[in-house]
Amino acid sequence: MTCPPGHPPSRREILKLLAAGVSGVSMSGWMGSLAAQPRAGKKKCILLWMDGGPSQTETFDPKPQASADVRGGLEAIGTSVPGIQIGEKFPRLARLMQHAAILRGMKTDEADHGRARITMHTGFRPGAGGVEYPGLGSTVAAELGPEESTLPNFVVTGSVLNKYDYVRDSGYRGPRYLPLVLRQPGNGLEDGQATVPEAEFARRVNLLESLEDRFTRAVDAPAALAHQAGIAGAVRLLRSDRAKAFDLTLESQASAAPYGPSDFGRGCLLARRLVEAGVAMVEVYLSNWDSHEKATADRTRELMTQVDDGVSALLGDLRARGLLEETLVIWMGEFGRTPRVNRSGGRDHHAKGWTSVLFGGGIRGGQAVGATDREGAEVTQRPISVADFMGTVCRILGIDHTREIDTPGGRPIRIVEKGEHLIHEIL
Amino acid sequence: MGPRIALVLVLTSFPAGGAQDSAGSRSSGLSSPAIDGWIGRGLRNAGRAPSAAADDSEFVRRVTLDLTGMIPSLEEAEAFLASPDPEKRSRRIDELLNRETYGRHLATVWRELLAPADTTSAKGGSDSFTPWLAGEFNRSRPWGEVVRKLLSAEGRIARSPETGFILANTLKGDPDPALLADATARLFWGVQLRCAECHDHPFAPWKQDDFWGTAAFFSRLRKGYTEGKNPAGFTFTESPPDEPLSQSNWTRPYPEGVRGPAILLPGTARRAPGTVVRGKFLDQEGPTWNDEGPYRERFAEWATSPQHPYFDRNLVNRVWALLFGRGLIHPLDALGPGVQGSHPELLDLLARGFAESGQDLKPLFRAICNSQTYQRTSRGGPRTGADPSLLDRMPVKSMRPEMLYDSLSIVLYPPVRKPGGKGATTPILPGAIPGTSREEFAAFFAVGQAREGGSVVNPGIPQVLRLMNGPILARESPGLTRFLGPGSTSRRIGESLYLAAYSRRPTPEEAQLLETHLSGSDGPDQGAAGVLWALLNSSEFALNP
Repeated sequence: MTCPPGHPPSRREILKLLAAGVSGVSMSGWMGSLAAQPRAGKKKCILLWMDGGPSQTETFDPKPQASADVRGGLEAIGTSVPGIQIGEKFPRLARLMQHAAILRGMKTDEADHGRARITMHTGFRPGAGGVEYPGLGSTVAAELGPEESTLPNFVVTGSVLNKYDYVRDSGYRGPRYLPLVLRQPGNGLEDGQATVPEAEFARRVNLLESLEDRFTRAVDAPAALAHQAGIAGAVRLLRSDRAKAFDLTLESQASAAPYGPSDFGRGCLLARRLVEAGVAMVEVYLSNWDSHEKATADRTRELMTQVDDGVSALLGDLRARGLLEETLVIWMGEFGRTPRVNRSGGRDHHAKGWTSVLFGGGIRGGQAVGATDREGAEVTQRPISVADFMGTVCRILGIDHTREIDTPGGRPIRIVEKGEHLIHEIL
Repeated sequence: MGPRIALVLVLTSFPAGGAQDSAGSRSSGLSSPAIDGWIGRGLRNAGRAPSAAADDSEFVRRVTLDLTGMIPSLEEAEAFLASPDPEKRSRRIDELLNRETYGRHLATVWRELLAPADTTSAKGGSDSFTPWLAGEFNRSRPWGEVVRKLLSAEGRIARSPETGFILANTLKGDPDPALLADATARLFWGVQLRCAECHDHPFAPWKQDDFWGTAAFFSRLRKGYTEGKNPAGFTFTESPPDEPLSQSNWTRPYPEGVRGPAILLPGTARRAPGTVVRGKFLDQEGPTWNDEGPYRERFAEWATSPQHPYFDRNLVNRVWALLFGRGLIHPLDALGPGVQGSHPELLDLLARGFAESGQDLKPLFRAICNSQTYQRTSRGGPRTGADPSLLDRMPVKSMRPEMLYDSLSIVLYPPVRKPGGKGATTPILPGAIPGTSREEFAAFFAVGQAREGGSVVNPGIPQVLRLMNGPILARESPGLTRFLGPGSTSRRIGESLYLAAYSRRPTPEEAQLLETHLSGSDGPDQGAAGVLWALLNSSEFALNP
């Protein structure tokens, strides 16, 4: 009932935040000098989350030799890397495969959306050991995000699978590493404009700062400090021109067009802007991959085009700006889909053999690692467990995944569960 | 020396158990002096002095939030501060416990724990579970009886609100014995069995058989249909052992040829699939039922009985955590053999008192809220080596989102009493804030799943911005306009807004601060709007002192 479990920010940390944000700088208005620069040499991560679970055989593990009920009416196409074929809906991405490592041996246990979404975000089974685990985004924000940042270190946007919400728990990392959520990437930062004239708003914020200042001196409580950190962060963001990173209307038509007209494309564009501005972690959701019937399966073809446009434009922009080597882009869902089309013309959940793709981040691209059998059902080469995957992602990002973090319950927990075999082929 | 001697006297009269509770708790264990005695002993042993008592403002705001989920209205706060009655605190507690909002608040808290998933669509769109819970709390229904209804609910889910708990523990619509075992152990016993689902528990004595032995009692719970695929016609019922599973049923089959409660283990790393685990009472032997059931009702009897090792202690621990932000055993799911917590004698005493009171929550709340421990101030600077379990000072708690919404409503849209109404003690049900529903607000301001005491307001940037720049504070509201107009002075405006938002009057320094702001504004309307904006966005407003 007090602070959610987690490391509440220490009093000193908060006072530092308050000094930078709420108190002191009111007169100068829009501060620029305090806007933190990204930590030198730290990598960044963009997670493109395919909510609902895309088919591996229709995307990055095509089986052109298999029977028609496996192929599902889609062909394979060649790519910029000899010997690697991908699904026909990805003609633009096919030219960028030299930057990609296709992980075709994903082998996991959870085939329920709710549990698998949490497992593939946190690297742990939900609730294992009675601990709340942070998602990858919170881990990256905590490990790689600038300590004092005007922009949040972790931003989430895009559309989610029907009744589910974004996986955004920061678990034992605590409320500091919760993401900033933008439900509509095109709308920018919601409530980012004051409803009163600037001068009046400044007066109000001044009064609020005085109240906070007095209250900080009167009480000493984690709940109070966490709340003040939120106010400080919001005020800092409002005063900074760095909030412009959220505003997609500042992009020219020519630079936005390659991302395509979809919300997912806009999400990719937003991710590029935020990474450019120094945000450590951006997650873009694309939902509706859950396709048990023909109608929904047919609609996933459109999603593939959105992915082809959005991701290829994102990779192109990152490369053009020299950011691709330091930005890991992950394309994945919570699981794959059954290789054979079912009686309803769709595909069901399939966790024991599926595919994720990594781009950039300094990996050795142009490879497909692991393989499934002729139909895309079972993993036949180089199975990749959840821990293998998470450990490798951490290694690519420069996070020591073997480090133990002290959780609020006093129990140290390894960032990635033991038993991992890193995918050395791509490192 | 006076107070210390008094404290020693109190201590020597416990733990004998006999309590003379002036505040009105009748059963022997539920006594405010006993609480203070045991907490005092802990403090003495640690060599720490307790903080001073909270003043009337701090107390009335805290107790109103804790017992009804919202701050006092301006009028209530003013009346309480003005009252010369020496018994006004205990009277206030009694009065709050009889408000409709008491049950409503507890229902919000427990709904989030019992049914964190949205279950309204399966019930035909309306949430009947929360109002049902509220009614049970307001009627002082014995806690064991409430839980028995939850565990053994049967019939059409649209017509039986108590099916909400089972409904929340379904996979693809079918009751899931593993989820039910986990939730039952965690919420009703304070026991974390989940880790024992796949292997013996690494940190607690629980074995895999403890988990699946609990799940076994739910193994024949099935979803049925009375109107085809229309969710309004879904039912829950315990099937006979030989009933074949329908095509659409994902539930694992009941083990063939087995009599009595049992379950087939799913395939896991350590056991071959197909192993049969018999129903087993946690910490005890299994029942010797060898009949064909039904089993759930009998399981529920045992799970909630006074003989159960954790049932009463868990409830007491959870109520304690609701009021102090932390359980006597921490975390809340750490109960188990040999787990003592910070004040084992106190927990035992309260659990016994709770059982003797007929598992009624109200006397428990009454005893705790009347204690000096609960009525200490939360104010004061940082201390070195502070141990939060000692409770030398009251912890500051966050509000949950519904509490923040209702509190905003009380300030901005003060409930209007009908002329000739019953006056200041009329129960107040806060109204909806125009343009923003309570559900919508709670969804935006809450974060995370239910854990410890449940979710709290997330002080993240989007939430802060929503309050600062969103529609709630942009509208003109009666909560502000009622102070404006002819005859209103800066001093009166400032004092009213402080009482409305913080349940206290401004200090002279703060009054000066407000005066400066108001006099520098373009007219009193704009000035007062600015003050209200700052107060409602502040930490002091959003926290429970």
